[in-house]
Amino acid sequence: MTDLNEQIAESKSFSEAVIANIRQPLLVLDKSLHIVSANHAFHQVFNLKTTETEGALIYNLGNKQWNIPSLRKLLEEILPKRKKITDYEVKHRFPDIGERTMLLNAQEIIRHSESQNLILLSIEDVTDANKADEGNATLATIVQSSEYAIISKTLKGIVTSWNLGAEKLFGYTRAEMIGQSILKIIPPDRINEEPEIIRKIQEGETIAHFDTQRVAKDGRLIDISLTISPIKDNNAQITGALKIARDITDQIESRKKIEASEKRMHNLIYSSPSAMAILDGEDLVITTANETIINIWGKGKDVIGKKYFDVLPELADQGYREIFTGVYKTGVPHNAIEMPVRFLHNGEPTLNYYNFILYPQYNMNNEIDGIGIIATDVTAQALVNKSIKESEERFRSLTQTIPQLIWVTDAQGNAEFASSRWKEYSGVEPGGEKEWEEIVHPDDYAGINESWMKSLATANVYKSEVRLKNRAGDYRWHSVVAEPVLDSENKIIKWVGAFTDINDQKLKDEKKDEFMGIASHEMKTPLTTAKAYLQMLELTLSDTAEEAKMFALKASQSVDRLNELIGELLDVSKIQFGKLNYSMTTFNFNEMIVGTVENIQLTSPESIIIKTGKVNGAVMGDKNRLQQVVINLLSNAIKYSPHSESVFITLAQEKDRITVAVKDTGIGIAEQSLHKIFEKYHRVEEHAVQFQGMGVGLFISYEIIERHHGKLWVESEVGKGSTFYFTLPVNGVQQSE
Amino acid sequence: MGKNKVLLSVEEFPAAGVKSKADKCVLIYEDNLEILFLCKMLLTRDQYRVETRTRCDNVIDDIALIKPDLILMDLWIPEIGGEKAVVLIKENPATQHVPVLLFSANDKIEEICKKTNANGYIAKPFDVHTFNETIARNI
Repeated sequence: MTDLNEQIAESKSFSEAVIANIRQPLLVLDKSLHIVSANHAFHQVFNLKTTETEGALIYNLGNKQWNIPSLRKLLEEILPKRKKITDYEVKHRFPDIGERTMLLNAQEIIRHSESQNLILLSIEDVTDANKADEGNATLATIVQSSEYAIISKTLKGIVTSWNLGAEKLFGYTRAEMIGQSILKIIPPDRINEEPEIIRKIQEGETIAHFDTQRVAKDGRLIDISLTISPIKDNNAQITGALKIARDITDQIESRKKIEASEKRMHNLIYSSPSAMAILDGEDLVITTANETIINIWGKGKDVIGKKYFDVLPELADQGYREIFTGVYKTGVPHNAIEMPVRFLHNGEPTLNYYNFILYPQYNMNNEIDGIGIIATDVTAQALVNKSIKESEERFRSLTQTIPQLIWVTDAQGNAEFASSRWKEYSGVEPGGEKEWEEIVHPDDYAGINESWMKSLATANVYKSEVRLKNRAGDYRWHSVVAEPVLDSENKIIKWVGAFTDINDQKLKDEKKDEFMGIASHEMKTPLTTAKAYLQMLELTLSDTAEEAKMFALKASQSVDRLNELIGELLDVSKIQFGKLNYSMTTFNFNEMIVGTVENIQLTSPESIIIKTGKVNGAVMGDKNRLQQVVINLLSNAIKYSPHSESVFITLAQEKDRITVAVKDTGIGIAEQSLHKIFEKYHRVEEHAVQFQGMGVGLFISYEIIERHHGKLWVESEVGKGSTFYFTLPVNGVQQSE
Repeated sequence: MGKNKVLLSVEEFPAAGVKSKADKCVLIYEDNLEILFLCKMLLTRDQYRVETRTRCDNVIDDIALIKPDLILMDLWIPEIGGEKAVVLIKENPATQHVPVLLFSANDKIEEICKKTNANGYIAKPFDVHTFNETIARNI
C-alpha cells in the first residue's frame, strides 16, 4: 500500500504544481465536493485565503456565497452523467465582489478507486468579456440609426452591412443591398474609383473626406463625402472596408453659391473704376486690391500680403493710421469728400483729391476682421471746386476791402449777396423791401425804385444817385451802378452792383454848382444892361451914321455870343455832374427844324441853309435841348465853311428812328482829330484861333443826343467838308439793336 | 407919380399898345440898381407908370398900396426871393389877378414860371424889342 500511497502523493503533488501555475482560477474537488486544492488565481479572483479554501465544501466558500443553484446543478446532476462539462455559463452576484459571469469547465479525473476520483473545475471570469459584447451591441445600434450612411463591404466590393442612413441616402433597403456589389451605387464614369479605394484599403490606409458622387436608386446623383477605413478580423487580417458617406449636396450647392458670389465680388472689385482694396486683420494686411487702387498707390503690383502702412508709410505720416484704427475699433465707417491725399507715387510726391470710404469688414461671428477701402479720384472736380471757392473767397474779401458796398441780386432784383461793408455802413442786414426803404432817403425812394424797375425791365445798366442812411442816422450821397450778368443765351441771371459814397464829392459839386450859378448870374447882369444899351444905341443912331450903327450891332452880337458861352459853360458844368435837366415832351420835330433853320438863316445871311427830307409826326424829347444841338451843328457848319455858299440839313425817318445830317463843304477835319472833337473843350488844333468854340458846343450836343438814347457822329475829309449825323428814337426810349 | 424924366425922347420909339399907357402901372422888383434903372427907363419911354422895389418882403402890401397892372419880378431878390413872392401873390385872392412876369438870368426861368403860375417871363439878358412886346402883351 506504500506504493499506492506514494503514487497518490506523487499524483497529488503533480496536479497541485499544474494548478498552481495556471493563471485561470482552478479548483480540485474530491468526490464529496470538498476542495482538495485551489490555485493562486482562484484566491486572487475571488478574494479568498488558502485557509478558507483548504478542505472546505465548495458551497460553503466565502460564507456560503458559492452556494449557487446552477453550480449545484452542474456538479451534482450534470457532471456525474457526462463526466465532462464545457463552457457552462454561470451568473452570480457575489456579495463580496459583485456580479460575475463565469464560464465553468469541469472534468472528472478518474482514479483507481472510484471513491478517490477528483473533479477539476476551471472557472473563467468572463464578466468583462461580456461587457465588451454589450458595447458591441450598443455600437451596432448607433451604426444602424446613424444619420450617416455606414456601409461595410468585402474586399470584393460585396455589401455586408447597410444602415438606415444608407437606406435614406441611397434609397436602397438593407435587403436590396446586402450581398450586392457596391458598384450598384457608383456612377459609370466613376467606376474606376472602386479598385483604387480597394487597393488603398488593402494597404491599410484610411481614406478621409473623399468628395465624390454616387447614384441613388432613383438615378439621382448625390454629392457625398466618403471616409473609408479597413476592417480587420481578430487576426488583424484586412477583410473588408467600412464606408461612412455624408450627403454634401447642400454643402456643394452653397459652396457653389459662395464661389459665384465671390466671383461676382471679384469682378465687381477688379472691374470697378473706383479704387478698392480689402485689408485683413488688425495689421491691415492687403488681401485684395484692384488695378485702380494699385495705380493710385504707385507702389507696384507686389503689394498683396503686405501690411498697408508698410506699403504706404506716407499715409501714416498724414494721420491715417489713427483713422484706420478708429474704424477697426469702433466699426464706424469713415467718409471723406474731396480729401487731399499725398502719395509717393513711384517715388514721386503727388497730391490728389479723393472721395473715399473706409468701412469695417465683418467675419462670420460678426466681429470686425478687416477694413475695406473704396475711393474715387476727384482731383479735377476738387480743383474746380477749390478754384470756385477761392474765387468766391477772393470776391468776398475784395468786396470787404474796397470801400464800395457791393451787392448781387437775382434776375428779379431779389437780394442774394451784400458785402459785409453794407452792414458796417448801415447797421442793417440787407434784406427785402423793408430794410431798403429804411435806409433810403424818403425823397429819393420813389425815383431810385422807378429807375431800378426800368433797368430790370430793359436790362440797361442801372445808374443812379441816392442818399443812404448810415448807422449814425446821417444820409450820405451814394452813386449806384449795376450791370446785368448774362448767361450764354443772353438772359439776365444776376445783377451786380455797387454803391459808392460820393457825399464829399457831391457837397463839393453842390458848392461848385452854386458858385457857377451865382457866377453866371452875376455875369449876366452887366450883359443885360450892355445888351439893352447897345440895342438902344443902335436904334438911337440916325440912319446916316451907318458905320456907327454897325459897330453897335456887332457889339450887341458879341454880347449875345458872350451870353451863349456863359450858358454853355453852365451846361458843361452840369453835364459833368450829370445834372443837366431835361424836360421831355412830345413835339413836332419837323417844325422845330424849320423854325431853327429860319432863325439861323436870319443871323447868318451869308450862307444858304438847304433843308431836305422830312420827319412826320411827333418826337419825344427835350425840344429846347434838341434845338440847341441843331443850332450848334448848323452854326459850326457855317463857321467852318467860310468860303461856301451853302450848308445842308437832311432829315430822314425809318420806322421809329429819325436821322438828321448836317453837311458842309468846308475845311473838313483831319482823321487824327475826328475822335477828339466830341471831347470837352477840344478844338480842331490847326484852326484853333480861327474857329473857336466848337469843342464845348459839340461836347454838349453829344451829351444831349446820348441822353436821348441817340447817336451823334461825324464823317469828314480834309478840304472837302464834314457831315455830322445824329439819330433819335421817336419815342425817346432806347432801342435794342 | 406921373411921367418921369426920360433919357431919350419918347417919339423915337414906336407905340407898343393902343391903351393909354399912362394909366398902366408896372411894378418892378429888382435889386440890381443898374437893371432897375434901365427897365424903368425903357418902360417910362413906353409911357408906362413905373414903381420899383429892391426887396420883395412886403409884396402883398406893395400891391395893395400901388395896385399895379403888371409886376416884373426878379428871382434873386432879398429877402424871401422872387419865387416865393410870386407864389404869395398867386395864392392870395386879393392879388392873384395881377399879371406877373418873371425877370431873371436864371436858366430855369421857364420851369419856375410854370411852377409858380407866373404869367410869363423875360430872360436876362433880353432883347429890347422882346421886352417891350412881352410887357405889352401881358399888361
